[in-house]
Amino acid sequence: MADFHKADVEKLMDGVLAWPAVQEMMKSPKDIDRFDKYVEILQERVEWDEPILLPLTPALFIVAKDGERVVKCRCGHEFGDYRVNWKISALINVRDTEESLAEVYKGREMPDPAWVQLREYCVPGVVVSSRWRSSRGVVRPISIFCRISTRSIPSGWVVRCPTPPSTRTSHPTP
Amino acid sequence: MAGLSLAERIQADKEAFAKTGNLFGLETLTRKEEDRGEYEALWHILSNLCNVAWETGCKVSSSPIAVEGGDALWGLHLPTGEAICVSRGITAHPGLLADMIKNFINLGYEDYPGFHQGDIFENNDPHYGGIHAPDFDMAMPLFYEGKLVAWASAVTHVSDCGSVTPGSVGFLNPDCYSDGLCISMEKVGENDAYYPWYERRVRSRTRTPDFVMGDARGRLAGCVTIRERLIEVIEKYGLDFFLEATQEFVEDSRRYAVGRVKTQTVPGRIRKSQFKDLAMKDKNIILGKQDVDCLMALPMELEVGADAGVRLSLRGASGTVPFGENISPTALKSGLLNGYSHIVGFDMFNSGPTAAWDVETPPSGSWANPFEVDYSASSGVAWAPAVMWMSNLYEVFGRLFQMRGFVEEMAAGAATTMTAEFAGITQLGYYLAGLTLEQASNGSPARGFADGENSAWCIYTPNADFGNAEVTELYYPILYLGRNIEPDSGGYGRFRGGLGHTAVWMVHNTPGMDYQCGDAGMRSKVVSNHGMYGAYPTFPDSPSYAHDTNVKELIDAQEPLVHDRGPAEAPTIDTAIKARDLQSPAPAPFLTPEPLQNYDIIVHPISGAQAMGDPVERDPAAIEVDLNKGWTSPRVASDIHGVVASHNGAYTVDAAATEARRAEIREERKKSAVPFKEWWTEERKKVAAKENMDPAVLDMWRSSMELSPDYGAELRSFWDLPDDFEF
Repeated sequence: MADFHKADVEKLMDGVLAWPAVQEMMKSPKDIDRFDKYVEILQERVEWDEPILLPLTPALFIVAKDGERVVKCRCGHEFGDYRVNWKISALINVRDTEESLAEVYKGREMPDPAWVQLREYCVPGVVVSSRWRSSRGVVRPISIFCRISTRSIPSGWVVRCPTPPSTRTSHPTP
Repeated sequence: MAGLSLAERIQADKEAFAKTGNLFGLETLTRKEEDRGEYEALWHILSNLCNVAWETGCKVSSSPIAVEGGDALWGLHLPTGEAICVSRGITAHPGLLADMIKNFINLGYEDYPGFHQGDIFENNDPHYGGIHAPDFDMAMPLFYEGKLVAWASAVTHVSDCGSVTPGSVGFLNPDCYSDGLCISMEKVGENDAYYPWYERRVRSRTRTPDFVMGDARGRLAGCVTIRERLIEVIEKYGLDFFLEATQEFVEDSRRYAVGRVKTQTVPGRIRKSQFKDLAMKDKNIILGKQDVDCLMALPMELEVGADAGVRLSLRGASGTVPFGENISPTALKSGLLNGYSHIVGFDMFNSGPTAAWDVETPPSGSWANPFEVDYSASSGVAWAPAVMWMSNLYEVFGRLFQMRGFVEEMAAGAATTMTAEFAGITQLGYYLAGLTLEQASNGSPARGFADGENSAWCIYTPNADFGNAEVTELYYPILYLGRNIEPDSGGYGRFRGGLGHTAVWMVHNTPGMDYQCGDAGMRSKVVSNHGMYGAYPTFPDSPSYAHDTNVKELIDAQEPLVHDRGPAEAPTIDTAIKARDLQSPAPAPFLTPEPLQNYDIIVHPISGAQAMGDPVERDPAAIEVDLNKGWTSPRVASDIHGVVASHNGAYTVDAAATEARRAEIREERKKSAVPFKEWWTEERKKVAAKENMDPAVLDMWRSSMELSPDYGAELRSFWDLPDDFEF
């Protein structure tokens, strides 16, 4: 069983692990304590103390807080109960016009706004002024208004919930 | 199992699996445990045997698709059909070939016409599990001392299958009757030779019979190679060892798939939306019903069970389309092995994992299950929606791997597949219809630790190879004016997708040639839905062409020509040449309304793959490299990535100014973003009024909601719409 050092995993996350070492990681049997190492690294990088239970994305984690499980951003913002789609508590910027899409795509690259819209989700704000540390010693305030999801979908698309509502009263419509 | 017919063995295997949870009831892998060395040796010998068949078969084949592109595959199967191992090539097919062999058995062919050494069986009919007509699937039963001990299989993508338009990407086919030559679960030869009437049919009903028959002989040569070498293997290792170890290979692979999902992902449910357009209104079509734009919903719901079983659902899939973009559930499920081979299974690739993956029957009447409602639906290019649906697996598994910390296994979404086919008289004076292999060289998806690779990846074959330009020029009446890495074609994120490339062709030395810019999984109206972790997806596919040009005069005057695509807002083709008919961009897919002629120009881009992460978190040093290689534009570097760079012979990034610019971008986000609830309130009014929704969007929602009522109820519920609301 392979035993990769925590420092290697950290370099991997930061995109600075040398390619031969990455290849070795890909080819070798996986280290059985990878999850623990990963969570430990993530926990060391945030400036709050709630234990991370499961990383949802590189920036959002399910954490234990006061006997509950909530979704928390690396910047400290809390989205609430992990069973409710965090997007419903996020900030959203929707590009559904030629003008707003043109800020991203130009000329022949333009998608048709009558066919598709871009929904960009950001973290609403920073509760604690967070500074994300990397293995290269770089400390940057990257968490502020971090964009954590971009969905390109036709108008009408729903934000789906972990449990599909069986009746209108049970689903978490805002 | 002695004394049982093959059909009875299939049934017995099914019962043993249901009872024990192990394929063939194999609770222990005895041969593996007894001698791991011999077990591994046999696996590698058999795998190599399939690769030798691929080398031989491709060389015997005639069409550039097989010979130059290697767009083919050979396999070795258990007597009951399960793939033991396969060659390199189009890994989308092992599942299809395995199901085809099982189908021959279950349809009673063992009794009539019987299975004999040297028999050749084929199918390309989607109504019997084929994927689409140009993929000719073949199987040969292999006997040892009078006993059927295995099957050899092969598939080649032929250059023309006789469909309503020339070539092999039948996106324009209006119904199955226009899909071309149909081989419906047939015995097509014996004693290692095709029947004479098989060749007559090919000569009568395909446009390139020499190529099609050449490829048929290539399939046969590869299968005979497998058979002859297999006899040597059995004589060396013994028949009992061969039969038992090969069953264990399949069960071993199932265990590997289950083990990997169990130890590297998390249980639960992930839903992933995906959409594909087919903009065909006011274009060159076959039947009136095709004068329509279509948008297809390709949703994936994937559930990993506590036992690491994987269940997939397509609830919400939209209805059939009056084009070739429909696929049977059998073919879709078989094709899943393709996605699996990229994402989960890198070891012992065979039929084993499909036992652990359960696909819920897609909604009847949808693009993924057409025939119960519309028997005549075309599957001319069934891969088109299927590969895009399967590309969801990248992001879905990428997210699952991330949750367990396996960053080295993460990948963002796939690139698209836009084909180029030519049909006409070549420079050598004969008629040719066929596909270039440009699309077999996309950028690869961004990874959790690095950018994707440029022009080195393809979703339908790990054997990514766009062929040599010089060889392509030998087959087709074209000359390459350029083949360049396409800047910014890998999305915008912390890690970008690998970049695609653009081919620039000049039509040369032909009395006339049709250019079919085909849909084998492309988009022209929408972008993909793979903005993983906040990245922007790649832009839509948009080719160009110029017909009746002044290029000859420019050559005579030694003036510059079109060698690249140029900036998005100022394409090179728009200004470098003059043309009577300039289509820039030409909304894909399309078939040119009249043949292109000498000195016409085609600009055919091949997409990059998707990016991952917030673009303002991309390492400025990586942007500097991209700027200096011409892989990103100053606008994207500045506006999307927030990088401030100066140019003095080379680009240099200003770190402090970049930090400041990125802080500004974050502030701009703060200003432009609104609380979700606020947006939902306004958007609900627009949805209820069907505002800013193209008819194609409305049609898609209508059919998705009708075919999957629970999905419709969820949509109405989310937007708080009346129970009788319809789009």
